[in-house]
Amino acid sequence: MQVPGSLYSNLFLTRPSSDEIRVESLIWNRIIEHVPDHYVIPDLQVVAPFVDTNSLITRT
Amino acid sequence: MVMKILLATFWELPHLGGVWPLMERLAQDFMRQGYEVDILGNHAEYYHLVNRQLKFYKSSYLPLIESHLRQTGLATVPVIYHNELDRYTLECVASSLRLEQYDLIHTHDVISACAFARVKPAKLPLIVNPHGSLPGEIQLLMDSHSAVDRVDHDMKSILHYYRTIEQQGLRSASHAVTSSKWLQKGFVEDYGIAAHHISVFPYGMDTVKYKQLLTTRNEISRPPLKKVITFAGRLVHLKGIEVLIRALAKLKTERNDWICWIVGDGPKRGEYEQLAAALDLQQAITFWGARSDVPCFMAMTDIYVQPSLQDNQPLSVIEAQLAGNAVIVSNAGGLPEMVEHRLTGLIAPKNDEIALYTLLNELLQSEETRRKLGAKARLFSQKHWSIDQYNTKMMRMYKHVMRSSHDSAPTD
Repeated sequence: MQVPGSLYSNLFLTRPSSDEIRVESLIWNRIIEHVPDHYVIPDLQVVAPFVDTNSLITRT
Repeated sequence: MVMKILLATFWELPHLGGVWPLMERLAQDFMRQGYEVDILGNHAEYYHLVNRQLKFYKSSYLPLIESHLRQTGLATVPVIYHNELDRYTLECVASSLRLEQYDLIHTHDVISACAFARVKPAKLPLIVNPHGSLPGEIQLLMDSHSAVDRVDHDMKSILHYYRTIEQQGLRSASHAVTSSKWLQKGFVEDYGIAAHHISVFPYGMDTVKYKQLLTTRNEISRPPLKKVITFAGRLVHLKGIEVLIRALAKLKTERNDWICWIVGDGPKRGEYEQLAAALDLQQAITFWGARSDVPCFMAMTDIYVQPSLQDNQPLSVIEAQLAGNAVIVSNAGGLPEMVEHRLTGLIAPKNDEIALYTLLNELLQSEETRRKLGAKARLFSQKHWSIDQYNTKMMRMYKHVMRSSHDSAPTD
């Protein structure tokens, strides 16, 4: 079933450039179910020097 | 309980030469011993479990990942951006595989090691098995270009990125394995990885099977009264093929009792063909392109040359030794670990066309030297590159890493 990609925003440290992306829930639910709790995209341990910090969402 | 192993790589599978035959052989031998093995590899459109013919199309993952990364600044260096998109896709695919079903993950590059480390269960052992140095290759490319400004800035960013990935991949794995002391030394010196964290044992080859392949023939025959000089591998800068071509140009001024076969393909092929033509070597050098019958070429070869500017432990040198060729390697990277100078082959300083020409001339001059070096190389190779030895060491390391991970990892 196609659902809004925004349902999976918790996986990301950044906002989407479009709110209209739709994804297959079966596939993305499986990802959400299996990734470790602390998992986020992008991997700042590797790409921090290349990422504009203003684009990152501040999480409390 | 049957041990279940996942062999994985970020690189495309299957492909000619390189990592694929090694992974395929490892999987076949472990399965023959009763273990369960899956092989995960990359493809332009999907990741796939090759042995199960199960495909995970990237189009199911990429649009959402890309929509979140497009405005982060990553896209300003396209090489990094596309690599990251592909890595996160691999992470999503990997997390969908129910990784807890495996007893061990064995990755064959640092990028997939980084990916699996981020999504695997904490207790699941992860082995990283780099077959070369990614930043080393980038550095070599940078050294070979007098690029400035934008391109130069991008190359520096790319070098920094791959160094970080390599370090992260090595650090995040339970254990690392390399085939050469040269790679181990680099990882210890560059990243402060403890030497005992990295096992070193040479590649293995099914020497009995290879011996049979050497007896098969293709449509090509060697020219009468000429000795055959061969190189087999990717036609990329780091293989030093330009050095070989220039050495051959000098050799041609001395003698014409040879021809050269260059077997393989790559982005530099056109440039090397042009260089050969410019040096009036069209009749002397044949570019055969990518071939699946390399053993047939090795069987007809007198002198095998590996002129690399950087290399780890190329399978083509192992094949040439098994074929009993007189082998010349450069002293780059792990190559000097493969040949004992004047016993099982000859070693030339890298990027030195005069030294290479001198050794080629010496070997063409003396059938006795060629015969002795080839015979010693064959003897050495049959023992040193034993696949049984390689698989035994690998399995012993798997079990050691599994025990250590189980003892030391926190509970989930």
